[in-house]
This record gives sequence, C-alpha cells and structure tokens, in this order.
Amino acid sequence: MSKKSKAVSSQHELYFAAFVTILGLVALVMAFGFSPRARILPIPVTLLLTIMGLVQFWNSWKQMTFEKSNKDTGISANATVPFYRNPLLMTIICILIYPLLLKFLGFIVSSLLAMVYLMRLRGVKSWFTTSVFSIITPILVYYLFNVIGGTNFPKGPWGF
Amino acid sequence: MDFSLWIRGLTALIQPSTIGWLILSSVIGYITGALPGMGAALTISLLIPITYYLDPAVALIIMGTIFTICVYGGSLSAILLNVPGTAGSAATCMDGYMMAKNGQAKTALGISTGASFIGSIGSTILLVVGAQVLLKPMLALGSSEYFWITVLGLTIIASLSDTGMVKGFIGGCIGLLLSFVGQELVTGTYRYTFGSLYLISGLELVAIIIGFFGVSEVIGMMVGKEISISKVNKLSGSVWEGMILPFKYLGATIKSFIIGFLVGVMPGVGYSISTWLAYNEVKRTSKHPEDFGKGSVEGVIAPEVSNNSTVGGSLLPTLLLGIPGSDTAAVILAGMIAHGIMPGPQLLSQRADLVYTFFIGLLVAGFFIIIMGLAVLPFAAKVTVMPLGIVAPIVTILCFAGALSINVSVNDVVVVVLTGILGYVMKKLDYPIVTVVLGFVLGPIMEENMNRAMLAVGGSIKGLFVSPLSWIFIILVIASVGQSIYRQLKNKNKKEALV
Repeated sequence: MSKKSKAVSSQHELYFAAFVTILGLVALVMAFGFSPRARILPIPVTLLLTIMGLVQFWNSWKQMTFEKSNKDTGISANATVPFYRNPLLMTIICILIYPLLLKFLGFIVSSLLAMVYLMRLRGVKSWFTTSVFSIITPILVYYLFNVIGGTNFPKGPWGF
Repeated sequence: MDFSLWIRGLTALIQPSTIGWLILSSVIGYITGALPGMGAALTISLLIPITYYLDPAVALIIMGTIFTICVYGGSLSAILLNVPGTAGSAATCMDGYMMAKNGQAKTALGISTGASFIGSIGSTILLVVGAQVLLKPMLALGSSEYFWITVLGLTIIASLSDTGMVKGFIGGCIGLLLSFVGQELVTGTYRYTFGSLYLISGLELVAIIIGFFGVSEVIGMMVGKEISISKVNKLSGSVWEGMILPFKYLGATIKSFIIGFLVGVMPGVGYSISTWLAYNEVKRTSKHPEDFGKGSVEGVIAPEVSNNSTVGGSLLPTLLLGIPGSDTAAVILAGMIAHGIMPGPQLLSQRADLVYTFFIGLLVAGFFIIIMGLAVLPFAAKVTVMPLGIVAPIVTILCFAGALSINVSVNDVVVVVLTGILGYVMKKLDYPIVTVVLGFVLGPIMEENMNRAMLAVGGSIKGLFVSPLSWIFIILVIASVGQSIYRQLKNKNKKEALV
C-alpha cells in the first residue's frame, strides 16, 4: 500500500471508529430505557461496542498522527475524479435507488435498468452483450421465483 | 452406530429430484468456485432463498454439496489462471500454476481432484465419528453452559481475527446489536424499533446474510480492478495420472489432512489459514523443499487436501454446538436456522435422520468431485474468464431477488442494501464480517439460553454461574481474550522495537 493510500485508509479507519463509538453510545443510552429483563444483554454488548470503538479510534488517531509526521497528506486518491465517474459512489447510488424503482416499475424493469447501468459502469462496452444479459437475467430470475417458486415479485404498471 | 439412519438417509437421497439437485448444485458449486470473486459463502447465501421451496433435507444437501465442490473448484482458476477462485486455493497457485506452465496443467488438475476427494471423504468420515463421540457429553450441557459456549464461540472468533481482537469484537458486537432489533420475546419490550412496524419482528437473517456476503462482495467487484489473467492455453498432461499422485505422496496427504481438519474445527479460522499451514508444514518436511514454488507435486497436494478436509472440520462445531468453524459454515448455519433447523446436540439426537441425510450428501459430494474433475472441467475452464462486468450485475440482481423472496417486502431489499454497504466498508477497513454474521446468528441463541438459565433460579442472573461446568467455559472465555491481548501487546512491542 502506498503512503498516500495508507494515510487515506487511516483517516477512514478514524471515521469508522467514530461512527462505531457513537453507534455504541446511542444504543447504550437507548438500552437503559428497556425493561430490566430486556436490557440484560444489550447493556454489556453496547458498552463493549463503545469501549472497543474508542480503542479503535485511539489506535487510528495514533496511526494517522504518525503518518502525518512523516510529511504525508491524507488527500483522497479519487479527488480529481468527478462524482459521476466514481464507480464506488455510483454503485452505491444505484443500489440505493433500486428499492425505490422497485415500488413503481416492478422487478423486471427496475432490474433491467440496474443491470444496464451497472454493466456500463463496470466497463462492458458492447451494447449487444449489455442488452442480452440485462434482458435475460431479470426474466430468468423472475421466472424462477414467480412462476416456479410462487413468490409474487413487485409488478410495474405494465403487469410484470 | 444405528445403520437404519444411514439407510433412511440414503433413501431420502436417491429420490430423482434430490439427485437432480445434487447434480445441479455440484455444477453451480464448481463454476462459482472457479469464478474469482464468488466462493462458497456468497453462492450459498444467494441460494438460501431458492431452497425455501424445498424440503429441509434437500436444502442441507445443496448447501453441503456447494461448500464441498466450491472449495475444490477454486483450484481450477488457481492452476489455469494463477488466480485463486476461493481463498482456500491461494496456496495452490504457487505450484499448480507453475506445473501448468511447465506443460502439466491436466496433471495438476488431476492432483487437485484426487487430493480434494481424499480431503472431502476423509473429513466427512471424521465428522460422522466426531459427532457420534461428542454427542453424549454435549447432551449433558444445560442452558447456562450453552450460553457460555456461545460467548466462547464469539470471543474465540473475535480473538483469532487476522486484523486484531478489537476489530473482531466490534464486528461481533455490531452483529449482536442487530440481533436485538425487534420485540423481546419474554417481556415483549420493543428494542431499537424506532416506531417502525417492519422492525418489530426483527431483521431477517437471510437479508443480513445476503447483505454482508452478497452485496458487499458485489460492490467490491464493481470497484475492483479486472483480474489480470495469465492464462494457460494448452491443457496438457493427464488428469488420471494426477489423481493417483496424492496416494503416492501419502505422508504429505495425511499431514495436510490432519492440519486441515483440526484448523477447521477451530471456530472462525477456516481454509484460508489451514492451506498455508499445510503448505508450509509439507514444505518443511519434504525431501525436496527446493522444488516448492517451481511446480512441486506436494505443493499442490498440501493445500488441496487441507482445504477440503477443513470443510468437514468446520461443520463439526457447526452441527454440534451451533458455532461455525468458518465463514461458509456460518452461512450454512444461517441457512439451517432459516429452515427451522436449530443446530446443536438436540439436532443430532432428535433429527438424526436429517443429519444423516446431510452426511450422506457430503459423502456423495466427495465423489462428485471426481465427476466434476473429469466431465465438467473443459467447460468450467471457459467460464472462469467471464468478466466482472457481467458477473457483478447478475449477482446484484440475484441478491435483490433473494431479499424479495423472504417476505416480498421492499424493506428487506433496503436492509440488504444497507448491510451490504456496511459490510463493504468493514471489509475495506479489515473488519472480519464473519463476526458480524456470527453475532447476529448467536444473539438470539445466547439470549434464549440466558433466559432459560435465569428462569431455573427464579429469574436471577446467578443462574448463569451456578453450574461448575459453566465456570470451565467462563475460564476459557477469559483465557481466549487474555491470550489475544497478550499476543497483541507482544506484536506491538515487536513493532516498536523495529521503529
């Protein structure tokens, strides 16, 4: 791992440790509101989560300070890439939008759209390959679960 | 040994539909094992929703077969492409690919077939014997002991984590926290439901499994680099000749088998470690250690025997205690629970027919390794070069379909997406996500046994400490945490000394 990516990683470690600590703390406070019997396990577990989060925060902090003292800046590796070309960000946006699409467009159409987008994003250049896989996969999966399995997948305004 | 159970298991297996599923799952397991980026845990997590429509015995056979064949399938891409299909085949690249480059690709594939067969059949036999021997003492355990065993399982897995105890414990606690969501069964208290009707019944186990093992993997595939392949175009050598070699090098085979099985039994360790341990041990004791890394036969035998013997080893604590020996065993455990099968000593005594059908399924899967090696190899070799641009979107749709099949609820898809993102972030930061899944699986078991133990003494927490046997497990919990802290402090001192 390069020095720069190490620094970025330590920074991310720090953020995640902070998230874990806050999560543990909030869950701990909430656990005190449960009935005495229902909080026997949640209290020690959330307390442990908070403590471990703090330990990890301290470890990441020390690591980051050490890297900074070596004159390394924690510049994001993808700082120059526009957000719409960032595969991580766009994949996450795509899978977050999918459940919304599912409600309005149904399984087949929303899956088809997601597949086309993900395939193009991952670098599949041929429209023929993209079309074949994006049409066949949702239909096959729909057939497997709906027709064979008897599960009613969400349908769009077109009835499928 | 009750032979009627074997006969009943065999009868259940020889149904045409079961055999059909066995063949289909073998092919799926072989192909997904060979596909870099897939692997047994992901494949089984995608298939759990499909097995909902099947008999629990058939579902168990499918999961066991995929586990066995997938681990073997990983060697195909390791030998032909120098890319391990699964983590258990990483060590196979060292000598397998070199053999292929030296014009012995088929021989290397034959060695992996013979070695995997030995590892698989041998470990299944040991699994059956181990289950028989350990069943009686396990049946004597009460709720308080079982509570401490689940705590021990979690602490061992967290402590043995490659990336440190702290990250292991954070993962386990997050899993436990997720398992608390919903209505508490004894008092009816709503925990972490935030007023949502959906959350009252708790988070779905299958959604958590698909999120952490499926979607997180998909995100990784979407952002990862396309795997650079050093393909061996000409398949020369002899598969048959290779299949016999593990029997010729019996010393290496036996050593690797024992290492694989024992590492498998240890909760949470798995074949990514056992294969390297076996490889190093066989190299250390070999008459020709200088050949290792240059296409040594023993260098292929060691990882391939040990990864398949780890399969049987990891299923022993899974079935007997409900504590999985590896990430794939954790997914199988979740699949069992999703089918209403609660692992543990009671399962072996009360649903022995089901367990024996599973054992027979594993044995037959061992023989299917040979069939796959001889019949499917030429086709599977072509599939391994399928680009991630096609694989990742297909797996994404399968993940969503799997989530929808639970309750046909979009909320389950949302849970899968959110846990997938969390899983991806945790994986990127080297958090062992197997501890999260394990915490989620063990949380309800832990709480149920705690409640039972407390009820036995009138609702007091003292119920967890009254039995002398419980104290043995408490001491083991303290020892596993203490050992891990000691190891970390030692490593830290070493690092500081180097700086």
